[in-house]
Amino acid sequence: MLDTTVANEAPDTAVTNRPLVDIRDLKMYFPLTRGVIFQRLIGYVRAVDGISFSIRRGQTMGLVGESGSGKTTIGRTIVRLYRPTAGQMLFDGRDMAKLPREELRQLRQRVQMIFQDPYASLNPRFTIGSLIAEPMFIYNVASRKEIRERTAELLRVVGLRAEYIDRYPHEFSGGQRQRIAVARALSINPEFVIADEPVSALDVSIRAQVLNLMQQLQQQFQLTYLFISHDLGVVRHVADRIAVMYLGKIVELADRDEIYAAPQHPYTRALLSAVPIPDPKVEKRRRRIILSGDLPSPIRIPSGCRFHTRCPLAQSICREIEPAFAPKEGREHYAACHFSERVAPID
Amino acid sequence: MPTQEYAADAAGKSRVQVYREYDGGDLTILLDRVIVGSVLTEENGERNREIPLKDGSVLKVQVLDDQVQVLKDDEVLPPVPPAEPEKIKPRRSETASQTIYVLGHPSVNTFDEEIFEASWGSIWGKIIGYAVLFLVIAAVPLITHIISAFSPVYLLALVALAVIFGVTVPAFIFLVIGVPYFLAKQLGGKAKFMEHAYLLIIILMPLVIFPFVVPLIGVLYQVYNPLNFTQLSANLDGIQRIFEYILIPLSIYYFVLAIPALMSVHKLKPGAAAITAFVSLVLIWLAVLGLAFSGYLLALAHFYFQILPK
Repeated sequence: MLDTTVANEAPDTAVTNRPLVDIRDLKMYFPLTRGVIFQRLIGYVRAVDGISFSIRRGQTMGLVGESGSGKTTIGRTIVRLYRPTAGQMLFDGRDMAKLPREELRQLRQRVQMIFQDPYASLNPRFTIGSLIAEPMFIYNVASRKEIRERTAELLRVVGLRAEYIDRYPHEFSGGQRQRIAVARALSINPEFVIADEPVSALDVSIRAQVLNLMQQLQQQFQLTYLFISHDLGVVRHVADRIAVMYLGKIVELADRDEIYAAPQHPYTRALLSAVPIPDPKVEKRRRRIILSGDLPSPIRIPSGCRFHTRCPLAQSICREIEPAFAPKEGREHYAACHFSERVAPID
Repeated sequence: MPTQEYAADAAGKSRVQVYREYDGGDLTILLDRVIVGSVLTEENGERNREIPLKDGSVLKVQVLDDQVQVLKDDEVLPPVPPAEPEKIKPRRSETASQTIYVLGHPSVNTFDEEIFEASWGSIWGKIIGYAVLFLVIAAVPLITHIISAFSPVYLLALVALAVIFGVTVPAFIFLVIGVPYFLAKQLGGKAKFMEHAYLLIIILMPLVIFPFVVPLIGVLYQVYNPLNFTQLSANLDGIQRIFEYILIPLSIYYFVLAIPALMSVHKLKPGAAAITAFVSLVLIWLAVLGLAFSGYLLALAHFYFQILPK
């Protein structure tokens, strides 16, 4: 189990030091079946294949990786939109994977999700007031009048005018819609927010606005974030710790600055080499690592190290033995590579 | 195999892996899949190597007559077969045993667990599957006619049957599921329709199909035996008796299953769940009688199809 906290080393000392979210060996396999009534199982899509990480209260964990690596599945599994195949998902010490439905419903009040596409996640037939208020009605947190007042307040918090409360989503820009989605997620005072690519669908010019808003709200409401993105540049801006995913597994996990300065996995190195640097001189002399081929199928995962089919450092042992996800030189920096010492530092 | 594993502790949890790409090649030594050293037999002619580990112990790997031996603190480590990948037990909803399990465990806990599998895709999959099954049951006599003596009339009748069952089976399902849903809501039920429909379909449809499959044997008997209208009536009496003997115990069992299912999905009290289950049962009876009547009409049609070509 990977742990970034003191609490798990001395579990009975202080509950306050316990990580808010503690994911242990989480697996989410989607069955592939044939037949309608008498279905038979012909295999699994191993979308998430034994993931472990923890997030302390008030921290932001960035989860990065290319499309199809399982980032979104992790987020959706944590909020139990999917039922995990195996593993534990401890939220404030309680395993969300095993909670009965009613207790899960109560716990979900403390966990909210912001989705990637604000054009799709807001129902165009409802006013933004109804959309933001909906979770409050579901959890019956206040009277109708109080909910309306809180909705107006939430609009102000996310930088929109309270008079917009009766407008419809199509009357807003992409950035404003994502602000509405943020307001909706915050409406029932969650402690943990899973932001699934919250700025990917937005113009570059308004990304920073939404990211700054999220950071400001984190400080204001002591929020804990799991920030999912395929863009290492964005994650660097918001995350305290970063986990890099490849084909359903975390291949590297470290503090933000550490991972950017000295990546220990060739995949992370390749991703970092693709992040543009706003300095033409540096950008020009910088060495780019272009990965060959596509992400292999999660139905037939390569033997040994799952990155060996695209890895520039791969040796024959990589085809045979899957490297352990181990700490590097005793630091809180984990990587799953046999030859991590050969990964070149960032220029 | 280029990799050999050795148990590094008594429980076999910690393992030493020795990787050799080919016979006589260099050895790469790993502890719990982390490289800790190598023996360069090819390059330097090394026959053994001592590797100090972080816990203070010393791992020694030696090559004797081209056989690899691994020692930890001078104790020879036993070779073990490579660890088997953990087998994932399929969920009940992924196998045919889901139906059997649910039918055999009528408790609130069973349905609490099943409810997480609810989805519209699964509901429609089951409805379409059952519509096809009903169609096959009803169409067997016609198909045998088409095979023995083709006539466009039979084919037309088959298409008509497909349309009828394509409409009546989903209508039947939504009727016997929808009315109890609204009743449960009136009694304080909290479920979404999708969850409610999913659970009731799981327990309802096998119980409804069963009494139809058994009389099919009787219908097949009719097909292969020339009959007149008097014999047909006598056979239908027999079918009716089978219906009675099977339908009553099945109805009671449906009632036993529906109560915990409704308690689970709607959070209803036992009394309210029993009332809803009873109404649901009455509807099923009415619908099944309707279907049986349709079957009777089909049997009549079958009788006339037999005499018409003559």
